[in-house]
Amino acid sequence: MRTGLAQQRRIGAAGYGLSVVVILALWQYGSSQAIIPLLFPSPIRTCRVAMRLLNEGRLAIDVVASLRRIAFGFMIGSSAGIVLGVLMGSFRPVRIVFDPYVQFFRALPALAWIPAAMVWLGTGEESKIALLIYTTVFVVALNTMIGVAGVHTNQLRAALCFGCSDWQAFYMVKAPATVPFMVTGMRLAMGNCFSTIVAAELLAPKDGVGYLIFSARTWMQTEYAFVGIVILGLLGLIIDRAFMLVMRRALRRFLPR
Amino acid sequence: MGPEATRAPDGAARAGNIGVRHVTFAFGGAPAVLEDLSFDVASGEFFVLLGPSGCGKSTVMNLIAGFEHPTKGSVIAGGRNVDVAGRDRVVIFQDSDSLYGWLTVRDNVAFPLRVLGVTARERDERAVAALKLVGLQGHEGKYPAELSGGMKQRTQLARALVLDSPILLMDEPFAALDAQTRSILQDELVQISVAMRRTVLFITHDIGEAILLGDRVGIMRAGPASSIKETIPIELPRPRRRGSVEFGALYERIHQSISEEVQRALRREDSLLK
Amino acid sequence: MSAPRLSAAPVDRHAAVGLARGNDPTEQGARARRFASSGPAAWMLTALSLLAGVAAWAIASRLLDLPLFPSPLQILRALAEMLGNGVLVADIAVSVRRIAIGFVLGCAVGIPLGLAMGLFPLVRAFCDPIVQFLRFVPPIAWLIPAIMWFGIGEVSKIAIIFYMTVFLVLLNTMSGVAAIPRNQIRSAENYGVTGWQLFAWIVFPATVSYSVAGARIAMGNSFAAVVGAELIAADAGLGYRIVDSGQWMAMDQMFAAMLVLGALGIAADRIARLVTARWLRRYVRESEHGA
Repeated sequence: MRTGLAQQRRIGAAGYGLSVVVILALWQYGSSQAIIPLLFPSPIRTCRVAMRLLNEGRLAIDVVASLRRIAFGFMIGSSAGIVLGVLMGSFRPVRIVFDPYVQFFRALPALAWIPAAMVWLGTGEESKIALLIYTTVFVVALNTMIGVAGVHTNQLRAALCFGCSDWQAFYMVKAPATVPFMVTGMRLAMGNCFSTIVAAELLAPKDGVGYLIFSARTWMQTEYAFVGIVILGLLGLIIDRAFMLVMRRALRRFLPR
Repeated sequence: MGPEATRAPDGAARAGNIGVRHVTFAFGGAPAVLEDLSFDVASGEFFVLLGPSGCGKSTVMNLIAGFEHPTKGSVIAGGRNVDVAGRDRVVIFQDSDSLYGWLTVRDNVAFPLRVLGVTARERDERAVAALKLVGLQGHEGKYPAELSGGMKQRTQLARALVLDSPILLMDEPFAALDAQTRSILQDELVQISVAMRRTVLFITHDIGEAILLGDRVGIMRAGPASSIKETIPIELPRPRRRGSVEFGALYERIHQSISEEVQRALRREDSLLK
Repeated sequence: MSAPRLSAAPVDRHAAVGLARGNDPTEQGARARRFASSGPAAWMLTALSLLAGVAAWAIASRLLDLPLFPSPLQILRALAEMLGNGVLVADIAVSVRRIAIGFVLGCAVGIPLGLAMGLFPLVRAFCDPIVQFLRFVPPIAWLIPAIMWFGIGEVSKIAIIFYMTVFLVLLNTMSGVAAIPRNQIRSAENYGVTGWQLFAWIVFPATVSYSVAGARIAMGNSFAAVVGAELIAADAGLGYRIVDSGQWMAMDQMFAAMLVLGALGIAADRIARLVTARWLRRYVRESEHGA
């Protein structure tokens, strides 16, 4: 049975690799058929440009700039969001007071705030980080709130049987039970951060992955855009996997299965 | 492995009697679920509450546990009026979703002691002892997600026992298990409750289970506005055999009584529809 | 505009019900229920909260006294003005048109494609790596290439919405096909239902709720997508209005446009929920609370 599973995994990995190769081959073929090869670069050209940018150090600058902004915005936003969500989920008056704002700002995408942020805070780091905080807070707060309010009734009843005070019920039962919801909220928020930072960097092009994509149009080098897109995909994948890895390590027992 | 190992340090009242006195219960403006329901359970007795589905058995338990309050009448446990949930009456639920998924089996069982502020070492000792009692030794480090249904219910039982509460309230705890596991757990439950002299209020819809486990069986009327129809003492010596003649006779008698109830309920529904 | 989400609102139904009904048996939960049961109190608090928010805004704008920080009154005035002279209405129409076309086309392509692809597990396995990669690329990243390919006009913006909608609907539909309980298929085959009938009577209805979930997320994201595209490269539309107002430092107009955008987003979500509840109820098994 064990060899069967290992074999299956090997086949799975091989199949995965095969499909990646086929997709790249299709891309190469598709780009070679493009009417204007300038507009649709092949994977090889994209790679070459990426290498050049890497060697020039340009790529590192852009990636680090974007990541730094996301890191700040995400962490501040998540912390604030968790606190807000816990308060809203625990105290009905708090929820009623903040609910209309959370709902409205959730419907108003961070991108709509970009011009306002640039007018108020300039085109530097502050405006971008502020936007990232905005895009993170409400998603995390909403998910956290739902987690706190949705703890299984029987878990709380059992806690009452054992004589838990309100505060004990909170930190011994509700808080741990809410962790998976917080994590979900944070994952969604990270996705939001990616799209927000790209848009912000497209509008105030100075540095960052968004700027890299933007420069494709300036220099008529579509490769830059493709490099940027590939970087985004890779970064997103790596960050998401790393995030889940860390979460599962540190908080494995809190996450379902 | 006697009761001493799991004695609660806070000296909870040892009296474990339950008294339900003329209880009426209704949700808001809805018709009463229970009406003028009364029964008593003596300290150390194993009382089974039996009834057709939807008759309000779980509501009775919620009232005794203190999760709900009667609209009329009163509930007494251990000589005192029941107001809120308490350590003297521990509930074991049918769904094991009351276990905490982020805690190991041992930490789940030790949870009530943690609430009390017992030191970590003593918590562990008592938890392990309780786990041994229910036959889960060796599984202390597992998480509820890794356990089978029967093991999860055993964990609930261990958790309930660790506080040495005089009263155990069990709401159809074995209903979701397969027949073999159910049968094994039934036998073990009897052994434990007899050895530790607990008062047990056990809810079920399974007649065979009722006769196997109970010192007395209270048969409930079909809902709504349910009350106790009759109480039947089970005077079979323990250990009881499911196949014995006396068992069969009791089974027939109780089955008859419940069928009458179900028929009455159906007729009443028909007359309402007309 | 979020990176494509494969699953809908992360709320599980239990939690949503808990939030709505307040199933917390602790003393705190009892207090919450008592608070909620006095209905008027809740409404009053909401009203008070909104009032306080508006008041705080007004005071802040008075204190800061910059032309850059408009008061609520100024915003409302700008809103009335822009609605009156038709500017805002035109912008709304343009943006909504782009969303509508991209969304409808996206569903029209995404659903059949998702069904087709879902029926062949090999195809699904083949697409998996590229999907896992692309889902982290925000749709707006494709805007610049789209502009370089399709020019700065309508097509590039509709293309972004189209791409995002297809992506989401396709994936959700595919996972819908994969999620059909095997026993449903088996019992259908038992009764001699095969081929096209099997598809039309069993497979398709079972996937509707998944497709709908994907479509709803896509609709929600579309607003952000279209605004993003219009911020960067457009000469009409709500996004354009916002960025244009910014360039003229006409903050009151900008906020008026943002207000409209937020309201539209909420309205679209409500409408989607209404449509689902009304016509698709038997396909969509549970009502979800969006998060």
